Amino acid sequence: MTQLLVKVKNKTRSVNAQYKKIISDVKCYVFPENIESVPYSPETLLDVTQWYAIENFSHQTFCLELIKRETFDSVDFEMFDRNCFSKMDYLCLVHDDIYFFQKIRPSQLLQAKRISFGESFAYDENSMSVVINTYADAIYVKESDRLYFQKLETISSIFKGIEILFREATEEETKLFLQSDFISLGTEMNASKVGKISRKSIALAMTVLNSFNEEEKNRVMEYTKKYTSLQHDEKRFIIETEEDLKKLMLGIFERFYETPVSKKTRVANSVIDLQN
Amino acid sequence: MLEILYKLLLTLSSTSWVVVIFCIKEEYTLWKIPSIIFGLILLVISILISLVSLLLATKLSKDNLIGCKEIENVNNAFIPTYLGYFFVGLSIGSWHSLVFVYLIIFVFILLSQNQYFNPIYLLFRFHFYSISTNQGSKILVIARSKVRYAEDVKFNSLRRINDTTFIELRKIK
Repeated sequence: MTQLLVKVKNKTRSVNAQYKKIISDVKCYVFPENIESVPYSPETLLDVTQWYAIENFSHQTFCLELIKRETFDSVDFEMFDRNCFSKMDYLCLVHDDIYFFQKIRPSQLLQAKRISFGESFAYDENSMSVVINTYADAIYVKESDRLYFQKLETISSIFKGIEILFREATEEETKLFLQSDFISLGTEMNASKVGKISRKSIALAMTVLNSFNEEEKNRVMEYTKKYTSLQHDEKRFIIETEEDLKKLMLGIFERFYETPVSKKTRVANSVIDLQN
Repeated sequence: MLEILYKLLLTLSSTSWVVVIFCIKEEYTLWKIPSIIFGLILLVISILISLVSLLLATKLSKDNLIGCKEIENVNNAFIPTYLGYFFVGLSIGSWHSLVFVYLIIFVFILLSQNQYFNPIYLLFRFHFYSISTNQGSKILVIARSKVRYAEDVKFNSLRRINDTTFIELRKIK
């Protein structure tokens, strides 16, 4: 039997009251054929049939209580109330001890006047629907105690705390970067204070820096000194907080500029290269 | 929409006794049929309404339950309420009172959780179980299988009447 549940955002303590039943016996998601499991690493780029896999998932701190139960009884969950449509967090389809999860983004909650083209055409003034993705965002197989997923960011709001995997994977790289010879760490600063966004940029920053020669590196340093208020001694920038680190990286990516006419100093949020 | 209609039907089939007993008491009849025969016809109609409600249950949402903390057979629990209906049917004096009293009973039963108790299901060999699930909630399961021990509970084809009442549907012969 297949049960489709939805997790709603509410303040109840009991896990049972946080999930509501939508419908039974619909197979919205299939288990991908020829799935190839790959241990998680942010560096690995996946092929179409490859999914990251986390072993012994039920022993992880970020595992859901729903999954850890011995038996899944749908009678414990109340029917979903249409009025809570906007509070939907993620879907969970349970089929023969396989759990499929899909995060619902606000853009996937469609509430509109709609004409549906089924067997007969119908006009619905207040139709509410949710887009179902081809593949689930995460799949848990109880038999093998394994969680499959393709994008960590998508499921990080379903399994709270799963970003720790990303942190652990990028720890070495982050530490290395902080030990570079143009950085002097303040007393409070260390790798654990570096958040997710900065970690992603660090890999890029390393690549950019390594493409510069010595002279170019110096020029980037001067440029960064000019536009930011970062403290520095002769050769190094003093990094006390993550904010300082972000400013340094903006400098490395050459995001600061001065407008030619109005002479305003600006920082670019995103850039597109116009020439090779 | 279907849910509301279904609940109305169930409430009707549970409370129709009041009307049936009243008609039998008054020896009421239509089209000059002998009142005994008419009484029997009313009884049969009551049973048929209950049968229809069982058949319509196939449209309800499916659920399952395997294992539980506690199970209790409550076939007898609602008999006093039932006898209450009989007495009401017997003691009403006029059509006028019947209509009012019946409407009041109908509304209360519709709004409460007990509208699914119908002794006619006992005729169809259903049992009523009050079950405490492993997660700690109490539900009512109407099933034909005989279950005595919590560990033997294994309902794979339950239908949801409401969030706390479920009926096990298998082929009705």
